[in-house]
Amino acid sequence: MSRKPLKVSGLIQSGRLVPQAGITASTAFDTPADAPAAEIGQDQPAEMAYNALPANTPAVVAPVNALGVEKLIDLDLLDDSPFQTRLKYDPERIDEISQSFLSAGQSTPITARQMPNGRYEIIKGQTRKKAAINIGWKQARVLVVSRTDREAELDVMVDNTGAPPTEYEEALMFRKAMSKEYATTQKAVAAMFLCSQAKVSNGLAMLNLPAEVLSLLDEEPGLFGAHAAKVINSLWETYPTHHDVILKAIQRLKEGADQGSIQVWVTQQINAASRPPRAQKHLIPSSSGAPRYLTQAKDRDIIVRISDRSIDAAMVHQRIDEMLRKMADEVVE
Amino acid sequence: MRAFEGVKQKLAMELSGFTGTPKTFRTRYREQADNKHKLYSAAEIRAIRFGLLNIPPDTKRPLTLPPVIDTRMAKGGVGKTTICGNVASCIALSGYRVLLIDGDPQSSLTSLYGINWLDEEITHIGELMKRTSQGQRAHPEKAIRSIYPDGMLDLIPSDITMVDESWLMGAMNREQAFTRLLEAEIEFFSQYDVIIIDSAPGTSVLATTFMVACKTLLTVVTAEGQAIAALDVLASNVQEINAAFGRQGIHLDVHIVVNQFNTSKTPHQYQLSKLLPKFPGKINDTIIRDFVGFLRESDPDNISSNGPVLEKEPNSGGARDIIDLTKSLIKLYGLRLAGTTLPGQEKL
Repeated sequence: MSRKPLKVSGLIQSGRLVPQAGITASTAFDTPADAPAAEIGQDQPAEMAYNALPANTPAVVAPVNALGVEKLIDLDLLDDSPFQTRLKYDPERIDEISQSFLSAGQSTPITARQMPNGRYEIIKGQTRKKAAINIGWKQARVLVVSRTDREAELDVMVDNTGAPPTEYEEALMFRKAMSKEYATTQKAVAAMFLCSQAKVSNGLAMLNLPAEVLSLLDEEPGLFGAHAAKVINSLWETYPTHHDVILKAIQRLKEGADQGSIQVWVTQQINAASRPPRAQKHLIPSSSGAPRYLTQAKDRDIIVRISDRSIDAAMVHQRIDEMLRKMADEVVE
Repeated sequence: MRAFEGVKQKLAMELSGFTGTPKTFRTRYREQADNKHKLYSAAEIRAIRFGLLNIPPDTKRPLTLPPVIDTRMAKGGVGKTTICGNVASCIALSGYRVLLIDGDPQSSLTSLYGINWLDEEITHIGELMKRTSQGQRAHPEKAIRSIYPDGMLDLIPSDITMVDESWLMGAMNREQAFTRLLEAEIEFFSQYDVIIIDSAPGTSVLATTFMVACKTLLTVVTAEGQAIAALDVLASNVQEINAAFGRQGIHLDVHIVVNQFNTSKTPHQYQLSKLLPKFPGKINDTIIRDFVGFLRESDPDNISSNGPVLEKEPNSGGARDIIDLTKSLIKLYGLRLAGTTLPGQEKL
């Protein structure tokens, strides 16, 4: 295809197109306002209802049932969870959710717990919050629940296994679950996250990678998975003097190289460095440039090929012998 | 007879969503003795996709109306017909059965597909609607022209006589005349995976009947002041329809495609930067660039040689834009092969 396609998103990303500020979005094609989400709380049983307190009075704290109450809450009152192990959010995914918010509205509320200072801490729905901010919403539907620190931390983790985190992020989660003694054995961790024990042990092994490699993963958690980590670990031990090559192999993943190629690439690089030089060939032409002889050295053998058919091979052989006899004497003397 | 037989392998692979190597594709879908460059027709691509998605080849669509894409804009000359005709051919070549309706008495779409409406006997969509409204059988199957064989792309052409919509004035509930036709002839219309209408510019009862039958209008604008101003005219049409038919569950939305865009023209950039915040979430990500090949599609002196860009210049930038746009529209309008595949499962 001749030219690269032109995308609105691409133009904005490259800064060639800046949407003008101060233009109000047209409501011409909008759905006529349906029952706003704020009214949902009024249908709740009396003991769960929370509508006596408007969302934007943060100083007052009221008890909230563990099942939760749904409310409209200002986005700037929503804080990210300190227990979140997810390191990066996919901007494309956020955009997708933004688009669906615009077309279908917010179908699932964000889950958050109320903090003593009157603010809210997200348990599930950090991406949804980012998507809502992305399209300029000021408020979003939030299911406010009551959770202790421990419960909240567990909730955040379990949500993580629902939306696929990277294997590295999972491994961090496994370790945390064990260090905090939410689960003491690998078997218990596996049961907690609904995965196989092998996955847990592979994940934990991943965290034993050398510090240099782990720092690369911290930057980009999706760089490679547990299987590649195993390969890297064994290479690291096998070639203690070639750690730079292994790091380079990992860097290559950032440029789109395949995880499965690490082992082959590293061994090739190391072998290439230690391989003896190739057989040397010398072409000996006449003064006019016509090829006469070709000599080739391989280990302790030197082969002479006579390219020009008009030359008498016996004569050349004799002359070489003469030269060698002379050299033989030189060495003896 | 139209000369177009199909697309080459590279494009066939992309449109069928095949992710293997070209060699696998060749060995699977080309006969061994075939040494020529095989061309893949719309029907063949449909069969390939059925195979990839494990849909039984004899699957029939259920007796429901397919999604309707109404290409509509109050202003003329923005490229409605170009977008509509080209997208239709690309959807068909992606394996969907397409019914294309020329809803414009100027018949530009009819001639884009090489039909000279001056010489031919044409039964247009207005006539079909009239028959249904008068209680007769419409017989749409007799009105269609086959563009791609096996019902992959059928066209209900139009001619200048469609301007006469006086019969509509006396018809009961005239805005729903088109919906009535669709429902009365559901056996015919339900065999297609999508119905695409090229609507006339301006405001007419005929254009309104098409709008009422669809959920989301496909609107084409150029990044120019006049075209953007015309969006407001369209918006007031839409609001009237929504106010009048809202109780019957009709709620029209729009999706906007920016056409004829030229990055070197500063006013284009400027207008686009104003359009984006005005219609957030309604503008298609793919911008259709100003492409001279669209002008080569139609030649009034040699109508039989006309054809859309995917047939004539499949490797051009214009074709690339149309393919990208089509992919997003397939997703947006929820097109399904024979009504079976689920959203998100289509790409293999």
